[in-house]
Amino acid sequence: MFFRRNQKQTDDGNRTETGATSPVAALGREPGDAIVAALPVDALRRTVDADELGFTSTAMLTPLTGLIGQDRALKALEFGVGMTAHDFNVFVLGPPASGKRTAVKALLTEKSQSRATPPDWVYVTNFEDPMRPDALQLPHGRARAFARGMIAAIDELRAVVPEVFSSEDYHGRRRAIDERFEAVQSSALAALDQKAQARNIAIVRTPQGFAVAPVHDDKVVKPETFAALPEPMRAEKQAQIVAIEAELQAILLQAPAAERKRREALVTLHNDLAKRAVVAALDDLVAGAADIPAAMTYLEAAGQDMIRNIAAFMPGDNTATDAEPVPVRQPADRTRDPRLRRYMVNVLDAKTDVAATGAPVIDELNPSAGNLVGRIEPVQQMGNLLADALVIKGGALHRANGGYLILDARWLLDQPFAWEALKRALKTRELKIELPPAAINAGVPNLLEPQPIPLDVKVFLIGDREIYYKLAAVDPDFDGLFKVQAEFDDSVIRSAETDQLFCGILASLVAKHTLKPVDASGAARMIEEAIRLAGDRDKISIEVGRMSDMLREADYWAGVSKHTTIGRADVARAVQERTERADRMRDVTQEQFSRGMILLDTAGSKVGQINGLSVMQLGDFAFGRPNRITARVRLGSGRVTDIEREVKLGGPLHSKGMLILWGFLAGRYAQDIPLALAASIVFEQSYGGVDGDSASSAELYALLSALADAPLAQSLAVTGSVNQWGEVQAIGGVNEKIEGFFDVCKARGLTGREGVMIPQSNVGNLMLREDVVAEVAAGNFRIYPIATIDDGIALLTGSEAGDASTDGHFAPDTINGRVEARLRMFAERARTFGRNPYDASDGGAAVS
Amino acid sequence: MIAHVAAAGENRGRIILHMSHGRLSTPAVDAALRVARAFQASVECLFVEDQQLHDLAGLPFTREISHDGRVVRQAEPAALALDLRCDAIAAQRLVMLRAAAVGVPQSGRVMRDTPVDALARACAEHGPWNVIALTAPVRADERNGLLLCVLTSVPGHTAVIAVGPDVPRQRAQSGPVVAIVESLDALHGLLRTAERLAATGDGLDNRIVLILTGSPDEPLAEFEPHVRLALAARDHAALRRSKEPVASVTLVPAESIAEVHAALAQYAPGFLVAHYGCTFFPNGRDPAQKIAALTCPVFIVR
Repeated sequence: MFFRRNQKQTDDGNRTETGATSPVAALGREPGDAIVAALPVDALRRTVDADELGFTSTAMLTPLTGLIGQDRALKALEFGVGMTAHDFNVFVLGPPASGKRTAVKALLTEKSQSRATPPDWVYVTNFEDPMRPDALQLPHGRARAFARGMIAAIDELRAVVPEVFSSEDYHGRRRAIDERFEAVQSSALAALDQKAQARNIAIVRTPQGFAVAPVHDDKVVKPETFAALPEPMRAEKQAQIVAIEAELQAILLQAPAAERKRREALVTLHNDLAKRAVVAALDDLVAGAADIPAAMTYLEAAGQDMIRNIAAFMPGDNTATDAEPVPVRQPADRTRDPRLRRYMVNVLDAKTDVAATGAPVIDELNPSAGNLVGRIEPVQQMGNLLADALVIKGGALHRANGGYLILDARWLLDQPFAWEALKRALKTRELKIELPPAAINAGVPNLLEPQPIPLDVKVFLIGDREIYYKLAAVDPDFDGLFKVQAEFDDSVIRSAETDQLFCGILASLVAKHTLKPVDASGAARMIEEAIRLAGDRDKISIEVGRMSDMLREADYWAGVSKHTTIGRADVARAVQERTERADRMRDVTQEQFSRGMILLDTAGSKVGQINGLSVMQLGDFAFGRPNRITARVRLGSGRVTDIEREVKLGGPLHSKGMLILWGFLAGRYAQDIPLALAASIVFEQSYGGVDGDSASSAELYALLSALADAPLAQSLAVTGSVNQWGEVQAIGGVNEKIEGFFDVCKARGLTGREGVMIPQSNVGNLMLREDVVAEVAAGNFRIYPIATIDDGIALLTGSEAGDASTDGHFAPDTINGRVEARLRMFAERARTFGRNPYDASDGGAAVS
Repeated sequence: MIAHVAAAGENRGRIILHMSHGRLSTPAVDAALRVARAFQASVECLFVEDQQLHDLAGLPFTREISHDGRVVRQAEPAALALDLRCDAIAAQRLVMLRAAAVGVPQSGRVMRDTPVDALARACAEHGPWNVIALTAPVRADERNGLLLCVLTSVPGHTAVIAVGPDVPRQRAQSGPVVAIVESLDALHGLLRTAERLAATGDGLDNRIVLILTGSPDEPLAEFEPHVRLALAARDHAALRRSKEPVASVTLVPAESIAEVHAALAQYAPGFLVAHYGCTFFPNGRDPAQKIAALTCPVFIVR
């Protein structure tokens, strides 16, 4: 912004200055005398008239959860919601605690009602390939019933199958089969046995099969007895035994074929009985899923598998080996029995509430990769990892599928692999659950490959501007996936309407946190605090989070004071208490000023010395701190030494301010002479980093004072940056800076001469503390709006700054004239020396 | 023993689990363990190596033919001993695991003798309170087999546990305990036995069914009222003593064997208790055929 009041532009673009409209009112005054009009009291703080709010308590108001004056952001959100294309996801950016999340959620909840309710998804066993579970789409609200139906079928089979296979009917039919196939062999064996017995030979069962041996009195003949028989008898008996053995072997060789047929007959019997039981168990499910072809296909496959594995429904150890010690029947937990788990249905955390209508709006507060795209969580069973369709866990994207997903960008980016997982899902438009890269890298086997689920979701990423611009800069996929930018402001222009809306938000906060109602005075005080937070008297902050904190604290103090409503005093106390809790550093600083440990003059005048102002930020709390700034000059080669920069305490903006200051000096005073000046400027007793250019005007005043040998009033503190034309420019934290100097002066006792010079363009930002305003009203403290360096130097020195004549030179009895004369003297001395003796020793590394 | 032990209100006894090479029925083992739990008895696994097998292996020309007829090998004493030892270890291990699971103490040993002689020796070593459990399923076509031999020829035992080939594994743990009672004298012991067995049903089924058959000496019409009176007195005494209801008892009169079969079919017993010598299991007759037709373990009291 340009101030043209004291300048006119020449044809060649350079500026000359006239003093026609200088506000400096008088000459020969003491430094600090009010030769610039101080600001009136009503310009220092915007107060809100509680009577104009039109209510006595927020209890009368309708709570408001929407937004105040965020038209641009709302339009962007509406556009994002309306665009159905998959890549038009929305990045909602704005300052923290500005109500973005609440607003987005409220808007999406409203919009979701008009959208169709998406279907449910379940994972079921793929009986052909159990490692690749199938995803099954069911109409909305049917998933849970389907899963319950399968469990009921399993339970029914567990009850029915043992009965079926222990019934007399089954045993009778089984015996018939056994007898049918055994009869042939048995009768043959019986005949052979009889034949053998007739020859005193027995067929004996051995551990490995059968043996044929001679017997006497139904007992096997002992070897010694047999050996004692005559040789012909032994030979005859052996021959008979060999013959019986041959016949026995012939009979036994037929056994495998007969056994195979018997088994086939038994399988047929089992299948018949199992099919009857399975069909009956699945009957209800089949009837209920008749309109879902995919479900019917699954039920058909499940039924076939149940028939094949009907033994799974037998209790206890029916299929166990004989070695398993399970003689006592135990009620089995379905989920621990892998044979039954394969028939269970895994309902993803989807829209399973039948009563729910519309699209889902999911706000995921822990957006880890697993929580987003789902994960596989194998269960430990008998030391092994068991992975099946039931161990698939759905993520936020599953729940939001067909609707909207709200994510915090910073939380998302903090989670390993989460951002990549989200991008992959959005780009491929399908949800594929797999092991995270970390697990794969760690050697965890990929146990399952669930069938991917089609994804149709609109993601609303909420973050601040820094993240947005960083993502846009470093991630090439970002712009392609998040094409809608909804930017929230942290403050809006204040009006009667916004005041009413603000009070509506207060009412909603009261309801949400169950607070005492806020009366009109309390609401007015809250608005004032919001104005101060906005840093602009014409604006109001809409950082709902901060307002909420403030209101809850005020509610606490109202309770302590036994107030039934939150009033002005309660809000003021909340502000005060909050400040006191956080201002230990400020107290320490003030104590150092009081004890003289930090040197700061607040009375008298000094050459080359001025009170600058800085702001210290400690978390949410900021406070102003005065600094003594000093300048020393001497003959040199035209360099200003920024001591802060030399010791690496000065930031780039501070250095920039110094260079501008130097440009001002050269441009105004050294158009036709070399600037044979060496100067050093320093923030005295500053031991931390200094950045920003808000002290550049103070530094310039100190430098001019040193050059003109004109003392500066120490009762004033100065803030404001300066440009090369000598115009004083706006800075930030003006309220805190004024209050910082005020606190020091107040502690020392106000005399009525103390005050602060601020840029005129910052007047609109003034929202000073009530105690500061009170002292100004009492005439004990002053705030001066300064537009140019000439106004400021006149106020600080009590002397006229001086205007340039038509030849560009200043009158010798003015500040500018004295500066010019000093510089000319330096230039002349430098010329007289014939060479510049200060080339190597006038300040070392300088800012120029 | 056990019925006698039960009648005496004692908690002692021993079950001799007869095992041999060949098929071992786990329902038979489970039934024996259930009885052991009911009477806090210990189980002795007696694996009998039939002496005749060793005699057979000692013959120089004897060969073993596998069950499918495909492998024929020379029978050798050492190989046979090894096979039998393996069978014994496997059988005893199975019993050991199942007994440990239900907290029944058990021991095991191997005897080389004929089965009947081995059982007789085992019973004689420990006095009269023995129950013999046969682990080989009783077959319907078995005539004058081991069961009858044990019932008629082995002294020193009080009961035999036997199962048929079609007993489902879980059946020994479910279904009511059914007792066939044909005299007032037998009622007391059989009812106590049934109660103890029913108490080990793990809550799945603790019903007791008494099938009253009567006998030529005590016709059913005379006998049944006395049973009802005895049961009422028992319930009253139990109620006074513990103030807790005793197991429910259902009385089923059966005039004939056919009615007994019908009652058994109706109640699908988890365990059947009966006296050897009753009308259902007459003295001197092999009960194998009836046991083989049942789908539950049978506890035959001598």
